[in-house]
Amino acid sequence: MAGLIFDVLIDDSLSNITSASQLKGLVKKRVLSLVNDFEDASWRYLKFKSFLWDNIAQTALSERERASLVDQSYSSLVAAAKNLRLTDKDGVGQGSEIAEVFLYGIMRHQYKALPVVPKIFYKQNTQDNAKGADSVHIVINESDFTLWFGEAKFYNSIEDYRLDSIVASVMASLSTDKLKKENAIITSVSDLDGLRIEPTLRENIRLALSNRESIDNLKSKIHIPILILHECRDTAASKDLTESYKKKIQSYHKGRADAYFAKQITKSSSIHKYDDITFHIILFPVPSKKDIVDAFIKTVAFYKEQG
Amino acid sequence: MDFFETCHEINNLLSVRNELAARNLLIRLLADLEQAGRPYPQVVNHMIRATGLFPYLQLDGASWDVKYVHQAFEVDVGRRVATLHREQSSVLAKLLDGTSIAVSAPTSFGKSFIIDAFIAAKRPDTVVIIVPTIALMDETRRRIFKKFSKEYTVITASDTALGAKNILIFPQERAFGYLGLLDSIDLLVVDEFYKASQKHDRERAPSLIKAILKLSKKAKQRYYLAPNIKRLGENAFTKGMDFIELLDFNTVYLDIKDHYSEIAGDEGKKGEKLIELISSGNQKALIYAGTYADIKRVSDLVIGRMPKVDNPYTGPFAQWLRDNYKSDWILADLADRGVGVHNGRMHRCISQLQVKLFEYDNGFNNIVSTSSIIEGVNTSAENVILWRSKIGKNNLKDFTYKNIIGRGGRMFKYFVGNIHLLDNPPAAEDAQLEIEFPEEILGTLDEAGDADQLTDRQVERIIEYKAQMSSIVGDENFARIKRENLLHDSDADFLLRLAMDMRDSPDDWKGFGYLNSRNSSNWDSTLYKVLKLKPNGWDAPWGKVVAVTKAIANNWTQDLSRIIKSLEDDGIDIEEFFKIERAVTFKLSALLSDTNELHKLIVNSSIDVSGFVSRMSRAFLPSAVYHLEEYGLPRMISKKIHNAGIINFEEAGMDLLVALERFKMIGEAKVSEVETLSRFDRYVVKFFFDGITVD
Repeated sequence: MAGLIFDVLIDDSLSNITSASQLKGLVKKRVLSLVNDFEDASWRYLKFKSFLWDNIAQTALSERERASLVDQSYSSLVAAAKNLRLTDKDGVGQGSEIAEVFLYGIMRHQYKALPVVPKIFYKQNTQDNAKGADSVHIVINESDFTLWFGEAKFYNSIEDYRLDSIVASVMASLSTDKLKKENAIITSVSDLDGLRIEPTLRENIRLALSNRESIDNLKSKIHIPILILHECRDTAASKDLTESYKKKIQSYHKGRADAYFAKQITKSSSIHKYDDITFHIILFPVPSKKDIVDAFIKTVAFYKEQG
Repeated sequence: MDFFETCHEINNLLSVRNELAARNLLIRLLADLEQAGRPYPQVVNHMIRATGLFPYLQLDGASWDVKYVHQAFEVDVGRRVATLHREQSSVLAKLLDGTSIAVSAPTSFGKSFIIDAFIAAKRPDTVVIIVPTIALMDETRRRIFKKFSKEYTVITASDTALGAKNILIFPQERAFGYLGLLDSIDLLVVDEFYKASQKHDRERAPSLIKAILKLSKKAKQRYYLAPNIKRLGENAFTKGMDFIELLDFNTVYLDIKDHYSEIAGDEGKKGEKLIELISSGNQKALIYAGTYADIKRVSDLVIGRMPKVDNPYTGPFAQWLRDNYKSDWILADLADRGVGVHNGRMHRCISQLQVKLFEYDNGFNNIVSTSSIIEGVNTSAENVILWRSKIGKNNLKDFTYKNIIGRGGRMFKYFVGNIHLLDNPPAAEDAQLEIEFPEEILGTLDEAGDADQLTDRQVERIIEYKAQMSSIVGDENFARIKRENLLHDSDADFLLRLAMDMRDSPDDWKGFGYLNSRNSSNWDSTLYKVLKLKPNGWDAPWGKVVAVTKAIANNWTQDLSRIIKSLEDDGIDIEEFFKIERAVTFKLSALLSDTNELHKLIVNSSIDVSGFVSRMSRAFLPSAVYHLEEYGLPRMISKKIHNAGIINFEEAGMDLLVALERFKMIGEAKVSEVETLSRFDRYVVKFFFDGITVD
């Protein structure tokens, strides 16, 4: 599996990098800061887009689906991805699908998540129209495993006031009733059978996903990666991946991570065994959210015309 | 049903790998959602994905990975793209990979679609598609023509000239005419290939096997399709092919309702139930009657109990039938009540029109059918009613039963097909297909070319046959017979007996040449003699066969209604007329042709009745007129067009292709201007043009 193609500026526990004393003791909070590079004095849009297309092609199909395809070549998978409208949602949420796909890529490259991607659909009450968790990933750790419940956002700003809504969304995803078995459907578990892993491990994963166990026992296995693609003035103003640019981003991301976790902790009291859960804030700056979203709309239009 | 609970159940079924039950439950859920007009929640889309039914995915509001699946499984199926379901795609992938495949899958699977996608992807030079019936040939032709006629010559009739790239579609018997002309076939398709088993089609299996044997030798790749076969026995015809059984992959759900327990054999109750079922609302029903007698029973019930319907198509169609065929035809009375009849006998254009009217919202609501509809047409209905568990004289077998009920439901049209059983269905059995070698075809094979598929003993028999036949007709002639496929009959033993008879009693064959006489009263003795060669299988007394032959000699000069009326004195009604006209044009003309070839070689080389045989094989109509009936243009309309001076069908060289070109050049509007055409005639003309023009 190819390594991550983006530069990693921070990959550390929050406790090691934070300057805020009340956050020093937090071990299970991590920060990942990534940046794209530049070419011909411009941010590499194409590389960003290719990363998305590659990852759709690599992760969106189950093994069985892939085996049934007429043309299984990489290029045809990418071509199908390019035809995809990734930008259906409008308003603030626009581009959240781009962020979701991006997180798939990060999970795959950075955290070596398994190709099997279980789906969880929740229903909170009878009127509820069953929503899906943004994404679920499984990461193998020698003979053990962890479950990653992803949150992905694409914002044009990550000032403090915007962080509140992210925290709210993460906390909501952890509420017990969302995780309760009678209100959830967990699918694609049979895909695990196709994996080359220890049978006992496979069984353990299956059991954990089957929800027969109390969710409380699982909390130590739960990781929450929170990807935030965000618009960044410094990125927009840069033409090269200079040390000074990197430093600026690094320090900005540190500050945002501090702010984020500070907010999250104050809201965490309602979550039982909150301290057992591992959180990862993943930050990735882009020069302009609008340009990226527009570019994706254009790509689809372009391919539709060709087709 | 609560969709979340149902999805829970579907997911549980999937996790214990009961995909069939999962898919069935899902399809019912989709039907419910559709009825309620509700968009699919994400989880439903995901279940669709998990069961492989990708074409059903609803993209509005779908998550990106669902949209990606829909996109990734999209292929060109000829002038448009469509999303395949998982197993369809899997079969197509193997086919594109060069594998030869025999596939068994349910009626609703979309097996033919794969042919179109293959052609669209590979653009092969030559594709041969063998279909079991003329009706299916026409349907396949219409589909293929719309998609590929810009690039391909689509050939359905014998004696049509090949183009640069060709798609040939016909029943096996017509394939022999092309054997010598095709050097190589890129894809050989055999639709309903179970018919190569004599258990399924006693009469035509030998010729199908012979055609398959001969064609496969030239075929780079083969694709055979059938429904309902669980296992395939070892045999020479599918050697080297992958057998793929996908019977559990259904795309619709069949809701089977037992009424026969309550009916308990009471014909009165059964009739009541039928009328109740077909009178309620606008749901379309296909009524399988099983025998001609039962078609009559159902017809009487319908005419006695149901009111006439008032819609823009059925009334005019009924009148058209009365005007052109028979003034008091029961079919017209049924048409008035929105009910059609499908059987293998009547003129093809009438069957085609009825199937077409059945597809219209304001056309027929019901079609009563013999087994012809299951082997001949791809039509489907929301309701299928099993009136009688018979197929002709025999009891219905499970295989055919499944084929019949498989007509219920259709992807994108009816998620659920309601099957109403008014008679006991046959016991379920796992169908293993055994294709046995019909020994009688041996002599028509070649000991060198076909040997790889034969046993030593079979090769010996071929050599023995060759020696016997050559001693009568001469080595060179025998070689030529083989090379040019001069003889139609697949029964070599019969041909040998005929040759010996000619050698031993040439005097008995005096008068053979009278068939060339314009005066049909001179034909009798020869016709009787030829009929006697194969005493059985004419479905009618010889006298009637001869009477019809002589009557249809006037097909081009007399009105059909007059011909039909004139035969009433011979005790031949319209149904029997259709049946015998078919037997004469197909069977009798083939037998006469073989007899003529042997007669030239053995008895008298100066007598040749091939002109007569050729006229007989097209019901004594001009060649193009006869073949145009397969394209949905009945003879009486052709006559009107001819008489109006638009197209001269008597012109030399006016074959099907020339006529079609002429029609396309003239255009529908001009043809419709012919004053003698009735309103319904014009509708038929429109339907005909629809089949010969690309959208």
